[in-house]
Amino acid sequence: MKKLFAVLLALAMLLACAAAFAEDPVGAPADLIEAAKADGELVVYGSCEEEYLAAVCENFEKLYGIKVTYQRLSTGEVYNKIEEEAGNPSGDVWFGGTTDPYNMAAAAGLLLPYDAANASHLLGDAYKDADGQWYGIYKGILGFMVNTEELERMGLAAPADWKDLLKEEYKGLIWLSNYNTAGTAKLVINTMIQKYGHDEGIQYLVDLDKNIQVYTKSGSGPSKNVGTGECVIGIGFLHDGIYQIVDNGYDNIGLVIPSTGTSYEIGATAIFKGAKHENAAKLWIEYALSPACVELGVKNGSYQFLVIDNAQQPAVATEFGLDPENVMKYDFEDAKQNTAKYIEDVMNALGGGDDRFKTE
Amino acid sequence: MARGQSASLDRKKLFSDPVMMGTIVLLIVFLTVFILYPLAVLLVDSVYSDGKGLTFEFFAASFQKASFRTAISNTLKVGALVGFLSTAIGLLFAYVEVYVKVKTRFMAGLFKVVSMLPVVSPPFVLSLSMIMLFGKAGIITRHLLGIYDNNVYGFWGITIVQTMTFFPVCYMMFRGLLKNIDPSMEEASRDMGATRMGVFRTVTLPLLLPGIGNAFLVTFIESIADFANPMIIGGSYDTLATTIYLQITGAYDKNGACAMAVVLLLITMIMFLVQKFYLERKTAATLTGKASRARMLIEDKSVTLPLTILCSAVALFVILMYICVPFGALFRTWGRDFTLTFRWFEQVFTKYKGLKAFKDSFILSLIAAPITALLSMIISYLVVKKKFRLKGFIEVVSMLAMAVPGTVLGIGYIRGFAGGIFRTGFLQGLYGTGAILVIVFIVRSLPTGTRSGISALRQIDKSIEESAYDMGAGSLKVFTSVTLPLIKDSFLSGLVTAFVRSITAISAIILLVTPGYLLITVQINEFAEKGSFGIACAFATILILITYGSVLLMNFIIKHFGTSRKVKEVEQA
Repeated sequence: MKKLFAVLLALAMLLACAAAFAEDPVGAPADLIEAAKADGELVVYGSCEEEYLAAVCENFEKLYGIKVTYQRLSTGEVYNKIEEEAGNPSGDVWFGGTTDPYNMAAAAGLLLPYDAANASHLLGDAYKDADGQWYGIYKGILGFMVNTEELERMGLAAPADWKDLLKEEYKGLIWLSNYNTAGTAKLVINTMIQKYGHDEGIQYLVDLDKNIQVYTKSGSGPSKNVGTGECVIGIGFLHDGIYQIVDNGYDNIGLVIPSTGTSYEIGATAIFKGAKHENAAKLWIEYALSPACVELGVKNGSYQFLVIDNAQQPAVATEFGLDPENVMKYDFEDAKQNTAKYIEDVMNALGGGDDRFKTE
Repeated sequence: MARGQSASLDRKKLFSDPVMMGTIVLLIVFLTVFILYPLAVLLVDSVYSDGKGLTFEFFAASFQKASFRTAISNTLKVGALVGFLSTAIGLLFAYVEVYVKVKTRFMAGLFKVVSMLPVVSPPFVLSLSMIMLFGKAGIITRHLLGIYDNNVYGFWGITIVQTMTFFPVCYMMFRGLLKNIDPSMEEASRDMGATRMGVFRTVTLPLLLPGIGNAFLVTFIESIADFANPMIIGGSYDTLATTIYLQITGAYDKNGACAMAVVLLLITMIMFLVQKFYLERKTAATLTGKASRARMLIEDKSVTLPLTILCSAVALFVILMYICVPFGALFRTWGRDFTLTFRWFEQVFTKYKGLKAFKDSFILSLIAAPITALLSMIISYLVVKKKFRLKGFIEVVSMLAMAVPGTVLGIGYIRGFAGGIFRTGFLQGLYGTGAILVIVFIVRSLPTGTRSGISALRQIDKSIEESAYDMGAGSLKVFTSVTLPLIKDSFLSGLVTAFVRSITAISAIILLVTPGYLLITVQINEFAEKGSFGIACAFATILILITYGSVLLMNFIIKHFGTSRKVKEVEQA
C-alpha cells in the first residue's frame, strides 16, 4: 500500500513537472527556472514607460512566484546609479531604454554577458550585443508628430519628409530634443549624417535649427507637447505619438513617417554585473525575449515594434501606417564610435549654439 | 585676564555636563558623516580624476562654456527676485494674520488655507498648474482669453511658481517672530504719538530685520537649489541646478558636474556668510519673560482695506492654481475633453501601486519629522545659548545642506555610501535601505528647522534660562522645561514642516531610491514628465490631502497645547 502510494506520488510529481515545463510560456530551460526560483527575488530598473514596466514585472512574478520589485528611471539615471555603485548594484536587471547607455555600460564593464537561449528568436544580429551583454526587446521608429488643428488654423500642410522641415513656413513651429541631453536627438544627428553624408548632414541640421522653437531636455518632450498645442511639429519616436493619441486622447495628433526613409532605436535589456539574484536575472532575459513579456507592451501603452519572430506585432501601430521594415539601414557601429564627435561638429557648426542650447 | 577666566569657567561648566557633551559629540559625528563627508567626496571629484590626478581643468572647462555662465546669471536673477517677492508676500500675510483685524471669519480662514497650501504640495505641482492654466493650451489663456501663443516657459514662469511655492515658508517664519514681539513696545511708541507706519518702520521692522534676512536667505537659496520647477517650466531657460543634473544624466560628465556644484556651493556659502556676520549683530531680545498680553488688532480702514485686497488677490491666484490639480485629475484629457472621470484615480490604485507608494512615503516621513524637529531645536539651542569651540562648525555644517541642490547631494550619497565610507565597506549596509532615505530627509529639512529655531530662540532673553540654571537645573532640565516650552510653536511647526518637506521631497532622493521603496513624489515626477497630467494630478491630489490633513492637525494641537494662543484666547473669552 505504502509502496503504491509512493509510486503514485512520484508519478504525480513527474507529471506535474512535465506539465510545468510544457506550460512554461517563456520556454526557458527547466534548471534555470529552478535556480531562479531558489533566488526567490528580482530587482528591476526600467527605462521604458512605467505602465509597461509594471505589467511585465507583475507577469513575471505571477509566472514564477519570484518576488519582483521595480523602479522606473531614465537611462541616464540608471547608468549613473549603476556606475556609482561600482559592482555592487542595487538592481539585478535593466529593462527598456535605448541602446546607447547600454553600450556605455558594457564598455565600462557594468553588464554581465549571458548567452540567452531565446536569442534564437531575434529577428537579426543587430538586435543584440555581440558578447551577449544586452538583448533587444523592441524597436521604435523616428518620425514627426503634428498638431493637425494648429496646422489647419494656420493653413499649412503637414511636412512629408526631412527636407520639408526646412521650409520657411514652419519657422518657429518645430520642436526637437537637445543634442546634448537626449538620446533621441543624438539619433537624429546620426541619421542625418548617415543619410546625407557628414558635411551635408550637418548643413541640414544648421538649416533646420532656423526653424526650431524649442530644444527639449528629454527625447519624448516634443511628443508630449503636440497634443496640447504647445508644439506644432515635433520630431521624435512615433510610438510616443501613438500613446498620446490612444491613451491620452489627443486625437488631433497626426503621425508622419518621412517619405524617403527614417531610422530607429532599439530598446534593450541586460543583467548588471554583480547582480544579487543572478539566476532570476538570467530567467528575466529569457522572459524578456519571449512573447509572454513583450506582447504586454501594446496592452500597456507601449506601441513599439517587437524584435522576436514568435511575437505578434502591435496592430495599432500598423493601423497608423507604421512599418517595422520601412526603415533605412542604420549603422549602429558608426553611431557607437562617433556620436560624441558628431555632436561636437554640430554644435560648432551652429556657432556653439545660441540661447536654446543652454545645456552644453 | 577676566575674559580668559570667563572662558575657562565656561569650559569647565561644559565639561561637567555629560548630557551636553554627549549631545555635542553625537551631533558632530552625525553632521560630519552625513553632510560633510558626501560633500567632501564631491569636492574631491571636482579637482581630481583617476586619469588626470589633481587638476583644475574641470573648473576651467565649465567656465569656458557660455551656457554655464548664463546659467549662473540666470540662477542669481531668479533667486534674488524670488527671495525678494517671497519675503514681501510672506511678511504681508503674517502681518495681516497677527496684527490686522480681518473683516470676516471666512476671510481669516481663507488666508490661512491659502498660505498653507503651497507648503503642503510637492514643488512641481505648481509648475503643472501654471502650464495647465496659462500655457499655450491653458484654460485661461486659450479658452478664456483666446491667446494662442502665451509662453509660460522661462524666467517669469520659474519666478512666479517659485514665489508661490516658497512664500509660505517665509510666512510661517514671520508669524512665529511677530507673535513673539511684545505688543507693549509698539504700544509705547504709539502712545508717544508715532503713526502706524512710524511704529512699523521704527519698532516692528528693526525687530524683524534678522528674520527678514533669514527669510530672504532661505528663499534665495531654496530657489537656487530648486530643481523640479525649472526642470518642468524652465523650457530652455537653464538654472544651475538643472545644468548640473543634465551634466550628470545627459552628458555623463561627473567631474564637470561636481565642479559646477562647487561653484553653486560657493555662491550659497557667500550668501550665508553675509547673513551670519552682517545681520546677526543687529539682533535684539524682545521676549523678556514678563507676562505678555494680547495685541490690540488694527481696525483702521485705511490699513485693513489695502492689505486685505492685496492678500485676497494673492490668495485667489494661489487657490486658482490649486483648484487646477484635482480637476486635472478628474478630466479625461486636459484642454480637450472635459468629461469627468474617476479613471485616473482608479489607475493610481489598481495599476500603479498607489497604496504602497503612499504607505512608504508616509512612514519614512513620519520617522524623519520628529527626529528633524528635535535635532534642529537642539542645534539652535546650542548655537544661540551656548559657548563652545565647535559651535561655529555645528551651525555652518547644519546649514550647508541647504546650499546643496538635492541631485548633487544624492550623487554625493551614492558615491559616499554605495561602497561604504571611503569604499571600505563600513556602513555599506545603510545604502539602499529606508534608513538612508530618512537621513536624507533629515539633512534636507534640518536647515529650515534650525533657521526658524534660531530666530525664535534669539528672541528669548538669556536671563530666563540663567535663573533656572542658578536654581540648580541641569542642561537637559533647562532645555526641556524652560526653553522647549517657550519655543513650542516653533518646534511644532518645525515638526510639520519637516514632515511635509520629506513627503514632498524629490530631487535628493530620485537617484537614491531603490525599487524596494516606492515614493509618491517619484511617481508624480514620472507621470508629469511624460505628460500624463491626469495621473500626476491624481497622485498629487491625494498627496496634498495627506499633507494638508497633517498641517490641520498641527494647528489643532498648537491651538490646544501651544503657548501663545492660550494667552490670547483666555483674555478674549
